[in-house]
Amino acid sequence: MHNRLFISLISICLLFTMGLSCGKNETPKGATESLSKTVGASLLTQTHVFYQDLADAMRETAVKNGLNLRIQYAEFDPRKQNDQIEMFILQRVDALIISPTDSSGIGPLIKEAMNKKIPVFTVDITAKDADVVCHIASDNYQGGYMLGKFLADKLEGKGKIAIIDHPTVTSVQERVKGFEDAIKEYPGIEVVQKVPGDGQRDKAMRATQDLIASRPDLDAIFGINDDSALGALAGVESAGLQNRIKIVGFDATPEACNAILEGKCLIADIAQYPREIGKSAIETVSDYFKAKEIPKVRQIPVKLITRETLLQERSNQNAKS
Amino acid sequence: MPSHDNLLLEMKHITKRFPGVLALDKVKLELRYGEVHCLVGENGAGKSTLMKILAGAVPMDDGEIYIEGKKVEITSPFQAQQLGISMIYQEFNLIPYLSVAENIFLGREPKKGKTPFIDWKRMYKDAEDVLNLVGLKIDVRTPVVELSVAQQQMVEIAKALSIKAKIIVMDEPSATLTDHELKTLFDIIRTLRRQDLGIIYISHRLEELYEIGNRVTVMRDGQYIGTFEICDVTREDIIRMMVGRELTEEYPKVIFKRGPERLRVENLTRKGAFENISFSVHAGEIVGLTGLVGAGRTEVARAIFGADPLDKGKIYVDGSEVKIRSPQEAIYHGIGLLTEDRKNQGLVLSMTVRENTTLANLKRVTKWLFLNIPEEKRVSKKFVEELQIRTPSIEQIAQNLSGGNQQKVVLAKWLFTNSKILIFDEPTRGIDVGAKAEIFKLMNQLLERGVAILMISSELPEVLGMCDRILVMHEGRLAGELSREEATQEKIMQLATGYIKKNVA
Amino acid sequence: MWLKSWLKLIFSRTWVPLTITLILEFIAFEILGSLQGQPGFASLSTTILILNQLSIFGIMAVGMNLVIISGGIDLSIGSISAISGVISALVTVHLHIDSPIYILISYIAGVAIGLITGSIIGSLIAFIEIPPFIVTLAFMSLLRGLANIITAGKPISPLPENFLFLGRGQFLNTIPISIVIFILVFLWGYLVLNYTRLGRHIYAIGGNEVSAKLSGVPIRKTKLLVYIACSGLSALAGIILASRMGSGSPKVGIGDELAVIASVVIGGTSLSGGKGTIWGTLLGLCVVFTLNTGLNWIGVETFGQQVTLGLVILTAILVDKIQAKLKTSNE
Repeated sequence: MHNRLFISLISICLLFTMGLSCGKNETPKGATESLSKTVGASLLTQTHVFYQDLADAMRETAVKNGLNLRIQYAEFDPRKQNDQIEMFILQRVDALIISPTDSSGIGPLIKEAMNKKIPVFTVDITAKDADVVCHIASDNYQGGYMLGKFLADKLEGKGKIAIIDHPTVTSVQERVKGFEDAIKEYPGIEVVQKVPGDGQRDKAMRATQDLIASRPDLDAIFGINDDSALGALAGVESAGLQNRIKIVGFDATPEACNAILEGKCLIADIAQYPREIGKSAIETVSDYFKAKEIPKVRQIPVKLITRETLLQERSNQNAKS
Repeated sequence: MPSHDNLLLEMKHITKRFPGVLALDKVKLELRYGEVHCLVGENGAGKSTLMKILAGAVPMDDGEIYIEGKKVEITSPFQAQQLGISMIYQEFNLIPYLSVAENIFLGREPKKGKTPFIDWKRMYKDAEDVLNLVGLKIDVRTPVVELSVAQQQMVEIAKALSIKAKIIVMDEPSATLTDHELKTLFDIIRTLRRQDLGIIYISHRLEELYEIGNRVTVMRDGQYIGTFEICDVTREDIIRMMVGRELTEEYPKVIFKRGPERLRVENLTRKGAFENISFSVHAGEIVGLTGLVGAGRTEVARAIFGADPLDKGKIYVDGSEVKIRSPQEAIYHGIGLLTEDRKNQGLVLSMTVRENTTLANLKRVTKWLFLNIPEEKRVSKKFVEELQIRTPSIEQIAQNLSGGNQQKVVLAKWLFTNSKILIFDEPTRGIDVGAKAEIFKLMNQLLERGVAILMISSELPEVLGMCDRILVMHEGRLAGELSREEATQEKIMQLATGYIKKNVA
Repeated sequence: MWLKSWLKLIFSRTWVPLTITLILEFIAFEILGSLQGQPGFASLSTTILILNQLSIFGIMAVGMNLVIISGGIDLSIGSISAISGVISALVTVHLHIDSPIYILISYIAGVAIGLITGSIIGSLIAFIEIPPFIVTLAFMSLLRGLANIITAGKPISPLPENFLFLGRGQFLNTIPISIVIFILVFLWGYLVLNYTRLGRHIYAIGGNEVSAKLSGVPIRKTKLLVYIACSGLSALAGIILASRMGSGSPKVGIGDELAVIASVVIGGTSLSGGKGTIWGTLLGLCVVFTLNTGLNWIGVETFGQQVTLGLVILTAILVDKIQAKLKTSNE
């Protein structure tokens, strides 16, 4: 027992001394590496298409701009993200790109990095209570506004609308605000109810069924993402009201696009451009290194998707091939 | 028809070295057709190693093996099986939730023609045939788990016969059998003998040799001592050759002055196990508790020790009534239990000799909040010397000790609790002759110190040899009490089988 | 022949292969990092980073080690760390005063939740004799759900500056507080296992429960204490985690129980109980977390990390088998 204890102690001391001696050999950075600055990124996840596209574009743009990019994925785990960022700080990367797993908890860590003169950029998701160099994300407000306008036109200026909401997410708050601002321009239309759907399909479906039962005069539903919208679609169809109620969604997932193409009562969606976000993020960092002026927020335009735009896209593709 | 003078098996110059030890030194063994050949020796004499070599489980370093006059190389258990060698171990290799038939034909299930499907009809029929050979009348579809130990052993033998074994090795087959079951086993062995099979029979119970054996080979410390016709040697001769010295006495009984009453129980009852058990044990005496297996002896001991609850009855320690609801309380009142199954109930095999010694009374080596390890070592060394526990060090893992030494460690544990009342449940089971005498001598030392001993045993010679008084149980009740002077094997058996009843005062 | 004796030397004790692995990890990541223009893995600052990240798991692993040596298992530790972090954060936010005394109250509240849960889990296992696997599996889900319900699924933040002390504070401005706490917990575990009756009882129960019972070892009390200790330590880890994150999130610690069990088992503790040391656990933790940080250092992504961790666990089991084989061939 004691023998083992002793030897373990020695080996741990050995590790430390080894660590110390190696630590002294660290070459000073800067002079030789001005050409290739290192950027560390801690993204939300590797398992969603949106983030895969975003990461791919970041890599390509980094190569073009001569930046050394290291991407890590937090997989929705705040602790993992914390560990990754701490390590980037230790590696003294020249800039950090983060899509926070927890908007409100990430603040102290961002402050720590900024204190160590590492500029921090956020993509897709904002950080609360922390000042970053720049936030790069889809223009959610614009997307909500476009959907509001389109829906108001389809309703011909009057009607009652419900929103399947998920109010704890900042990007969703912006979408809803844009949507409501558009609706305000039409005195004949009102948002009569907002129900929580947690952005999940099954919850959205149940919420929709309850809505239809309590408000038989409902004309349209806005689902804050496609899972909400598709859930609403299922709820409306099961009640047999697909000819009266119109639905709009957000994200333009392939499944939602198919529904729109098939002429179901889901009539419009908003497409985001993750590749554009990724590209812009790296370009912003590169601009920062070149000491260019940078805005606090970079909003990547989004696009309204309707049956018409989808048919257009398809004929374009056919023409090409 | 092979002649009885031809040898079925011959092992010559078998040598096996383990690092630092010569486990077998030019050992030889012969087995004739239709012979029951007994193999005896103390634990560690090399019997198991020799048999493992025969079964292909351990490779030998040197030597030759001939089967029916042909030289063979045995390199794997599978090959040994092919050569007609079958081992029946103390711990059976049966799979509990498979049926008897499935176990017998495990890995050799008969197939329907060339299909991969099992021919169940044929399998059941063949199983029944082979069970008939050993005289076991049970449904072959019964799961093995529902069989008694003896029946499981029959199934093992049936399995051996079904693979057309010519040589069957039985390792301590009698250890877990009742007398009646043992009789059945001997009947089967005699049948097998008539079919010209060779049987190697390993046992610690020397009296069995005279009942069933033809010849006996004695081994000691990895050496071949000799082979004899059973009728030519006496029991004392065999013991002397096994131990290598004259055993002064097999049962070194010393009669001490009977002291004050230590333990008295009145009307102990546990439904379904025993009823109205009353007796007392005094300082300086050994009270034997005997009876057939299943008579409820161990159950009484467990209840006194608080391991099982009592439905009724009173327990008095040193004259005053005590309530014992757990082993902790029993230990607090100075009672210790040396269980029959040392490996599974007596010791923590993964712990060292030192740790096992102090386990039941850690308070005694605790200073403030912490264990006083130097003190613990001192105590443990003291016991190793006092009890002559043969171990390389007190830090040896209990698993690596022999049965007798394990028993001594258990004893050390209870001595360390300052137990005044010790209950020994089958204290010599699986222990060789030399170590047995040592355990008995230790009992004498305990008696001298004023300890009271209750000894549960099925071995009548040892009960007669060591006990001052003998209690006999029959079907959960006390059938009678005999004094040392009046007790004989016959009287005990009559009480144990319920042939006569004698009232206990 | 010399090869065999070398193998024997290397595999004779648990700590030898582990220490060798650890040193190899440092060398390998230093070389791989340098090739990518990122030297300095084998440095004091990285070691502190690793220890800092390891400390939270280490606190849980000390408790888990006790549980596994006693022959049990605790799958609920990740959920306990989440709910205790959440409770502690909630209390702070509700007290609404950023003073050390109030922060201390919120810490105590978090630990109390752990101790209470531990007593319930322990009682179910010790007195009603439900298998630990099932009890703790149920609690893993139950507590995770409760944490989500209490917080409506979103993290509790921002937390006052003083609350961040445990997770982000430094002792004498050099060593993170969490490492200091881990060292204290580790010493506690060492003393308990080697120098107390409780520790001896834990080994005895794990080694052979029947023998232990018949030797008068208080089985139920020991088991109860073991699960209370494990839950309490997990709660402490959860509070440190919340303090480091700056938020009490119900989503933290998912899958932590597996990483902790893996570290303990790699450290030579037997899942069947009765065998294991606290030093082994520390080495197991070091091997796993150096690997973790190292893979991050050289930029291996999520999927690659999962594969690597799996391989390490498999290797550890193989090494254990080789050791057992060498030991039997010795006899």
